[in-house]
Amino acid sequence: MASKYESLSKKWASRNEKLKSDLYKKHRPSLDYVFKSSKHFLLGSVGGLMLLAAPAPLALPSPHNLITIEQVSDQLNKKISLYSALAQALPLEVRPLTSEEEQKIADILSGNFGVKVLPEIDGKKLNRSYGLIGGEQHLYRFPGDTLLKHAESPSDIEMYLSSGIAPSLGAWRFFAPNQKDFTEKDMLRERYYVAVQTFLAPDFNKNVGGYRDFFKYRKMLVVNPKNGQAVAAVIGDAGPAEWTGKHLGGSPEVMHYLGLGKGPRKGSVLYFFIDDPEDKVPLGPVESIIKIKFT
Amino acid sequence: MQKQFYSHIIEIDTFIVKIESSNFSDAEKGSLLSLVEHSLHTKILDTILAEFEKEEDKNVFLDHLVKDEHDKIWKHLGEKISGAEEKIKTAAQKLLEEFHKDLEKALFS
Repeated sequence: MASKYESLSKKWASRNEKLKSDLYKKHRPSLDYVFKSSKHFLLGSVGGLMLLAAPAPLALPSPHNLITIEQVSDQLNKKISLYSALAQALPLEVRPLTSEEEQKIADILSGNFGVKVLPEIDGKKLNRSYGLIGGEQHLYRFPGDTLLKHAESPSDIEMYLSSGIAPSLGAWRFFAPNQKDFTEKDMLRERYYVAVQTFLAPDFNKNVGGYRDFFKYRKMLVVNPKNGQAVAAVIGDAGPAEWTGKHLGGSPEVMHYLGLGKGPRKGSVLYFFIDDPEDKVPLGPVESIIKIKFT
Repeated sequence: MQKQFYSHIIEIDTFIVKIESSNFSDAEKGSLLSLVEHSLHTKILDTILAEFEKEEDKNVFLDHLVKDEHDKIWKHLGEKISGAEEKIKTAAQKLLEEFHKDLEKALFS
């Protein structure tokens, strides 16, 4: 059915785009008005529509966002440095790391990204910290949530529509009890979540409650060692099953920012706990600690 | 599908049943229904906004819509647009017929 679906989906997506384009062309002043006047349009029933309705403008860089050759070179050097350090520390095959390897790599990542990462916190760790990640679907965030409500900008649409939404709830159920109490923090947690094999953690069965509380929304740094791209995410679900051959899953956004959003949507990654007791590390893509100054 | 102010006057169940009974995967069904849901919403908004004579009436409508104030939406429509309900039904039905045809063609070709 794949080809039938693709054909139908393409046709309907095209029709949808035409409708949105027509709507925006004909009623732009009113739509602009509602954008500006509503503080909560992103979460409102019409919010996603308005964002969809606005044809995506060409993203031309404005002068203040242009970076110099030297800055590009700095960025490139940093990536090469990380790549080189990880290439020396990582085994050739994707396997569980030894404690010594884990510590060495945690030090490399902490130094590169300016975020303290650890393979173990309070005596608790996952079954591995180097494994194969696969793409996951979106999760229902509150009762009555829909896939379309996940859209935050026109560029999100392709990702959201194609990724779909998981039919069942995540391991921690809803992110918020209802839409009214749904916060930006909840939104970011679903946006940047990973599913890890909590159930395979050493001694998990001896202290299920303790491990569940420990893992729930625990922040992790996920790094693609092949390109140096990294994302701060939370543990938002448990999985995948062992038989899948994969060791963790990433939300569509996580996969995108790891450079794994296209094609087979899988690859090898490093994943370590972020030591962030004061909840200061923001979720989302993580840049190298070398800051690029825009002129 | 999310409850909208027009949900009670649009007959879409037949369409949903047809999609649900197809051989598409759950993710594919969800994706297709999302496209239909979104297209319908866009079409209905376009239909309504085109009926208002004044810009301020459009803004009042959109304000109510953002807040999901369905009663206020219908009160406003009743005051400003003659036969609003029928116009919404007609626009939605016409669009749904196109989706029906596409689906039939895809499933039985």
